[in-house]
Amino acid sequence: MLCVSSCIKEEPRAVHAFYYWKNNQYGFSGQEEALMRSTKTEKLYVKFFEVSPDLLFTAIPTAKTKLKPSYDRYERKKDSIQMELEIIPTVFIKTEALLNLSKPKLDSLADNIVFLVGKYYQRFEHQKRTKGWEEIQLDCDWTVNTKENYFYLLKKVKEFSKKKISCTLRLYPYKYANKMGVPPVDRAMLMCYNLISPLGNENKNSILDLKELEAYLKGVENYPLALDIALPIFYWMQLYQNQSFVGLLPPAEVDLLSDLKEMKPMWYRVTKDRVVGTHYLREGDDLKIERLSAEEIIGAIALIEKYISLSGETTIALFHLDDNNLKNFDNESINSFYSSFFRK
Amino acid sequence: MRVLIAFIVAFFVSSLTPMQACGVHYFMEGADAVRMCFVKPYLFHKYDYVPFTYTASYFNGFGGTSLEHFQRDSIHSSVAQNIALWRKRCKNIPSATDTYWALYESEKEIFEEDSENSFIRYLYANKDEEAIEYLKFIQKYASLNNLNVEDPWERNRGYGNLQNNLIQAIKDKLTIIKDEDLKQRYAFIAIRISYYSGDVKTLKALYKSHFTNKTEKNILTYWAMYYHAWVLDNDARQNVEAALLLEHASDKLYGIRGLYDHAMPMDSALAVAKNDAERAAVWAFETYRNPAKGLDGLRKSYALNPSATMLSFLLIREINKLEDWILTPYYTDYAPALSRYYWKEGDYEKSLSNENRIKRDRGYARELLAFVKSIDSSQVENPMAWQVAEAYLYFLVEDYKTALLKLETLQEPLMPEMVLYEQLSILKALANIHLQPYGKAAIPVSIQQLLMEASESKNYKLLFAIARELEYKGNTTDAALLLSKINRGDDYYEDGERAFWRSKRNRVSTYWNFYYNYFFYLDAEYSAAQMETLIASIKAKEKSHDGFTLWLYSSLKADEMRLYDLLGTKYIRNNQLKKALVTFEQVDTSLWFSDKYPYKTFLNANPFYTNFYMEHKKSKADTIVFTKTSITRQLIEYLEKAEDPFNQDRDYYYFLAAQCYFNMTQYGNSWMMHRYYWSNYDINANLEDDEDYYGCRLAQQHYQMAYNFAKGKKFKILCQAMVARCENYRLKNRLNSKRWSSPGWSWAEYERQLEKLDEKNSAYNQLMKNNPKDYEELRSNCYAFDQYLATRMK
Repeated sequence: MLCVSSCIKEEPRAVHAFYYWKNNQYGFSGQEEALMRSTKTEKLYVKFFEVSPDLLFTAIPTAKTKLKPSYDRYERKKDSIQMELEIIPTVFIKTEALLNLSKPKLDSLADNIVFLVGKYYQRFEHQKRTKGWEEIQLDCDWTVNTKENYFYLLKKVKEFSKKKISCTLRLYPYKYANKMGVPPVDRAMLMCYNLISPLGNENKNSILDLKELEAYLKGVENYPLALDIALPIFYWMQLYQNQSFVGLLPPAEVDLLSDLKEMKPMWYRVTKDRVVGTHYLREGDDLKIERLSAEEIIGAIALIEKYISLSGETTIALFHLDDNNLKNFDNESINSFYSSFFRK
Repeated sequence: MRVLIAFIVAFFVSSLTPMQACGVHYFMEGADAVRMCFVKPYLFHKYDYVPFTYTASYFNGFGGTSLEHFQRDSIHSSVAQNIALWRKRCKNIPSATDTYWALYESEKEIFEEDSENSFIRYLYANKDEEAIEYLKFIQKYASLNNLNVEDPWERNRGYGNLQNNLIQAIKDKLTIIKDEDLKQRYAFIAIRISYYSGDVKTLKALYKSHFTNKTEKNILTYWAMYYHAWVLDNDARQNVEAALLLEHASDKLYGIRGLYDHAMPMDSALAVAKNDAERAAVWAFETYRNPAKGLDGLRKSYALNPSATMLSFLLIREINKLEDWILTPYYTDYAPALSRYYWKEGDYEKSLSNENRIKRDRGYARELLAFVKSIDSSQVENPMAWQVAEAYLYFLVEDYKTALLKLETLQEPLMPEMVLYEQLSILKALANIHLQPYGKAAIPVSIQQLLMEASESKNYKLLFAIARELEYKGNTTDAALLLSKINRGDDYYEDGERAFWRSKRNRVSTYWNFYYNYFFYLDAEYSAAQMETLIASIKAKEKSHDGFTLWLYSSLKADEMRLYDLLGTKYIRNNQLKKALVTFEQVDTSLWFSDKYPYKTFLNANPFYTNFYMEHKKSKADTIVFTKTSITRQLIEYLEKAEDPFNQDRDYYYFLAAQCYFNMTQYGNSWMMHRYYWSNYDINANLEDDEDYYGCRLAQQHYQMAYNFAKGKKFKILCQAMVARCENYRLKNRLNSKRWSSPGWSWAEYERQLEKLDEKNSAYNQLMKNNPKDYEELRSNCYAFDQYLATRMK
């Protein structure tokens, strides 16, 4: 019997998922919906809100989601893909919000998080796939100083919600688990991107650099939690004016490239004045556009599979669902990111 | 030693102006530090919009709400409208200040019958008991009324009971009170409290019964609309109302910004707008934070509602943008301040910037001018804003004559003490200077008073702009005089329009590649001839008694000795030693020994001694303190002997002169003969003597002459070694120039090239080949230099 139970291995399977990180949209665009349909998306990690520090209330929810799948402003059909999704409420916690919090305050914060998640989830209650929410995910870039509070908060959120709890896991705490601790959760989502400082190296892609990724993955054996994998499909543009970093541009609503001249890999010069978001780009400004090719992502998957032993149902979540990101990859490429897992 | 030098040089700089502090503060101020803005926006539109006037910061500061602001007319117009409403109730008999005080600043006692406040007295005298009761009521609940508490976790906890009781109390009052105006006031308070307590039902009901469908709209209508808009179910309508509120209740503007959903297409809001005024407000809302060209929005808003109050704000915002796009680079040589929220000094690629951009942006000014000319000024709310804009746009499109004519016409009926009069004078002054032909520009008498006032009020950017234009027009003397008047505040951090600028020729005379102080700018930019003219002008005006001349010349007169020093230094840079000597002799000796300047620190080494190894070190034999005068005199004497064909020791004197030339370079002990700033880092100075100062050209020539005339072997070798040393600096200077002109060069590439310098140095190679032992000796034995030199000592 012992042998049987230890020898039977669950067939690995990739659960297709996306993160939905926008907080100012009421519904999905047609393109987003089509993509979810064509990629057979099963799970959507929706950022419900962020937790920010506040002088009066200690910690408050900000950037609250406006997403209402039943919202009919854009004449959505009742049979749309969104009805089939499993929605995972996701809460981003700013590290500063966890500093210097007493246990009673953490209890209160956990209670508030669970309350507000429950309240917002009512918008999704007609989902066919699930009855009520089953899992909550917390996303936090915890530090050695905030580790204790964060882990306590995770326990309390689980205790109050009585749901499965997962959290995101950056590669640094994954690699240095002794120092950073192992979060008390049911599963962890390993975020395989943003490994280096965005402004740290002008010639490197700060979203994902395969050498950096391998360095983090190598040498970690048997991380004590079941892991899911998050991969980046986003891109961003760093704006430089007078050769100084000004800010990140929001994904352009229209294709910017026609007004840019490539200077060297990733670096472009603005050739025509235009407004993007709140920024007025003028001729002569520089942009560093960091984006990945499908091959690079497939390469990252190969590294992940080489160094991590994934088993059973593993969620592969792409960050993040947004029309603009889809300009970078076609549906076929995105499908291939899911299907590249567990081929052996 | 170098650290010390850097420190002391910084001190030297700071002894003139707080330049070091300036560097720090400059960055703290952000890009607005360089932004040119001569049209003061708040003169032309509601003060409420001040936070959103064009700025490189996220917001401009708003004055605030206090009696002082009220009296200075710099308070929210909503507050002013509320006061007007109350005064109307009182037949305008109480004073506006008393009414303001009673409503916004008062203590409890003021609401008694014997109050000294004319507004309260009026209410009692006219037995307006309902109004008195209302005022007492709102005062009693003031703290709750102001309880701007949200419920972030949406749990409907907290302040409910108190708020609910108050709402109920107001509802009760509303059934009794007859006065419609007071009814609205009570209803508004209940609406606000129900908003904060989350009682949407009550809010909507109160709004419907007291504010919907009222034909007469006043500030209370819009205040109530603000809270009602937050609970609207229709998001598009919410945007329309946010836009209306920006036009009518701009004291709520920070909140209004959150109310408006920019993600929603503008067409959705336009579709639910009920009339042209609402559509105009939506267009204005979409335009009012636009950092780029906003003419389309302005045009659409005007077409839909020509009398909207937002229009003058939008118009002046375009004017301020154009000032930034055209005048900032034109005057300062910096890129426009744009909308850079994080900004630091950086190199600005000229090829991409100034001329082309300015040209194009003047094109936009022409478009705006055409539109401004096309509007019907009888319909707009503030015709003066449009007229001033039109006149100034002529200036921005370089039609200075028309600009001046129009500005004069506008100014004619105004009284000189009016703020607008002063504003127009500023614009006229700019146009006036531009109108003058090259070579004949001067400071017109008509702007003299204005310039003195600008100095008094620390409007240094105006003085700077006038100075710069004079410089462009060839009058560098008056330009320098005006530059000497700017950025002179004792307290650096006090407010003032300080000016920062860069050299058009990319010349750098300090660590910073920007200028803040006239002296360093003259150091970098002015030729010896321009300095001579300036000094002659100071001399010529010595006996002048008119107020303006006294004011204009006072700063440079006080700095006259330093100007002689600067002129002499420029002659040194040109190797015009005799002229330098005559000029240095004009300098009062006390300057060289003043504690204010570091000459005695940096000119106290023997300039005629250096060896193969040292840089910047005093020689051990130093006993004399040198001055620029004594060094120059001595150098001339040695050169005369060196060049005398009958002198037997020409090699020796050439060698001494060469030593002096070497010491006057970046690497020597008397670098102050050429510069006022020294840094261990190579600076792309672009000054006329870079080849001498960084490349040791003159030193090398004179060592070569010494070599040519030298007879003794060891001395000859020594001369050759120094030629080789100079050659190394020459090659390095050439390499640096190459690096600076090729921005793509990596540091690694530069270092690789640097390592190859010895290989390229033919003088070294020759020495090594012909006299390897001497070469090795001179390189490795630090006493060798003196031993070799001793073979030729007289």
